[in-house]
Amino acid sequence: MKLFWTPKIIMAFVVLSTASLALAYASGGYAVPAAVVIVTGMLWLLDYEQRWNHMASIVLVIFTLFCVFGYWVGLYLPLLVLSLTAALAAWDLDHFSRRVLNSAQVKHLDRMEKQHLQSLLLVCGVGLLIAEATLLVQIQLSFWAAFAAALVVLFGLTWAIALIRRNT
Amino acid sequence: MQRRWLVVWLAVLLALVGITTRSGGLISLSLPILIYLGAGLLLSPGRAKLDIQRFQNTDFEIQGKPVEIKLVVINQGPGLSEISIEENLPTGVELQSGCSSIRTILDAGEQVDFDYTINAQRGIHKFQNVQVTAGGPFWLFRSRLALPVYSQLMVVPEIKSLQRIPIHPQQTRPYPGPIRSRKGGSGTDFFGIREYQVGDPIRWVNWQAAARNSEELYTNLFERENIADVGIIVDARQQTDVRGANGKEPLFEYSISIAASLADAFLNDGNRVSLLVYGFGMDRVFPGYGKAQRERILRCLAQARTGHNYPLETLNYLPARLFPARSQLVMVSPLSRHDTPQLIRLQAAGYDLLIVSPDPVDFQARAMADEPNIAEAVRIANVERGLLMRKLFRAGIHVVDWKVDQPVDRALQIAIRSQVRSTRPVRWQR
Repeated sequence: MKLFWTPKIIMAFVVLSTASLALAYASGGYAVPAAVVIVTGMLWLLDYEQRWNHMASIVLVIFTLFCVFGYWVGLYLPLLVLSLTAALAAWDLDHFSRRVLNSAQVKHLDRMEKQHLQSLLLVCGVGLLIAEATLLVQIQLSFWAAFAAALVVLFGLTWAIALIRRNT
Repeated sequence: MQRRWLVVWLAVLLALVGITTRSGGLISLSLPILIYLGAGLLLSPGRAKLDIQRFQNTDFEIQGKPVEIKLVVINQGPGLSEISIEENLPTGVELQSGCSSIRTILDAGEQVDFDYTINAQRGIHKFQNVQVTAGGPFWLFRSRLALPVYSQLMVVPEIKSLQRIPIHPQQTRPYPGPIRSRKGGSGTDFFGIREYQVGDPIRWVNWQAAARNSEELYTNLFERENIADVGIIVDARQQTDVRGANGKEPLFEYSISIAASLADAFLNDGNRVSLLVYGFGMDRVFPGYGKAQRERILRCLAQARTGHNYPLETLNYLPARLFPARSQLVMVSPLSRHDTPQLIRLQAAGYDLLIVSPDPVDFQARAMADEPNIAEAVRIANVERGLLMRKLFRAGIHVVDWKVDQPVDRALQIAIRSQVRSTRPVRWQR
């Protein structure tokens, strides 16, 4: 019972996420945060190799906070979006890998891995493209339009959470 | 925190902070996460439509023998990108080989099967639900359901082959068998002589007795060999049950095992056997012969358990009248010193009582071998038990003191032979 592509792709995504975030910080002149990002990324790789637990979620939160902080200090945004998307994909694959390895018995592993990778790459690819595309579009919203958008998001999320609770 | 809540909170915080601060960059950052979350939600499966069947190689097995189980799962609904199927094994059943759970992908109409082997303790084990968890492609939103797949497994105690047990009840059944009936008739053992009657075979004439009396002829009588009524009583009172190391391996299991072996041995000899499990309640198998009776007894023993029941704490309420008068009773009990009067009363009532007693002192001494001062405690307990046995022996009761780590067959033969040779009290012949 061994995953073939997943470990390689996890490593690639972790490296991509770490490198793009560190590059964004380094190019903005923030050497210490860039070093912290690199150390965190290496810790994630070590965590995956050693099969420790819970590191992936912590690193995803840390990377998200670094991205937000990077945005506030005016770092190059496409790199931050790329980093966050790659971190999200690596986080998902990390959990998929652990689920499979912790299962007593897995059948049709290759098919399952293939389908998971296809779905994930498609969703993350689309997400990355749309996010990068929105960076090019600049729309000026009035306060009330922003307020309405916030309400729509709030209602949408409330509905989504209610749906989640009902399903589970 | 669960995975989906982590993603939800990250997306919500980024989107809300982005909107409230009117920062397009933050909203852009939140988009990959929101799309990932949305895809997970949209692609999450509804209620999985699965057809599950369980196949067992048997539903009646002897303790200690493995049982093979196979689960076949057919997906009757849309394809499931990741699904986890788990069989919840009932208490007392442990996995011997294979896996009782599986994670797989199931396309529409696809079938997956997995098998495993279990080892079950004595009793009736009910398999009920199979837990199914179906998740979407990212395992964010799962639907859990318990699919009812009922089956039952009865595990009966192991039967050990025993040599013929010499019993001599005061009354036997009128059918030929292996037990000496204390009545004259056709047989092999000399029983007595009587006056010759017309029709007696010439070779049965006792010529020595005839020579001493010139006018009469005498005929030899042989002891008739018949089958007997045997009642087996299993002591299931909680206070007589002791447990081995760590509170596991109760002595009662040995009692059950020997009761099953005794029932098998008596039935093999053609006797009519009945059973009473006395303790938590009073479970009874009415007298009967043959293989069907053996199965009935095994089923009853499979369900037997110890328990506390205040009226049945002593043997005062032992329903002796359930057994035919003056029949053979075999009691399997570790014995308690408070039982002596009732047992003597039972013997005095005309039953021929044989007690097979798994030794609780030896059993617990082995389990507590590392405890301090155990040697003195064992010595005192052994003296007490010896006195109890002697008291029963003096009342004419056969007692087999069985140390459970030794073969029961040997213990039975040695004890019965030695007690038969010993001086027996004079029994009042009815």
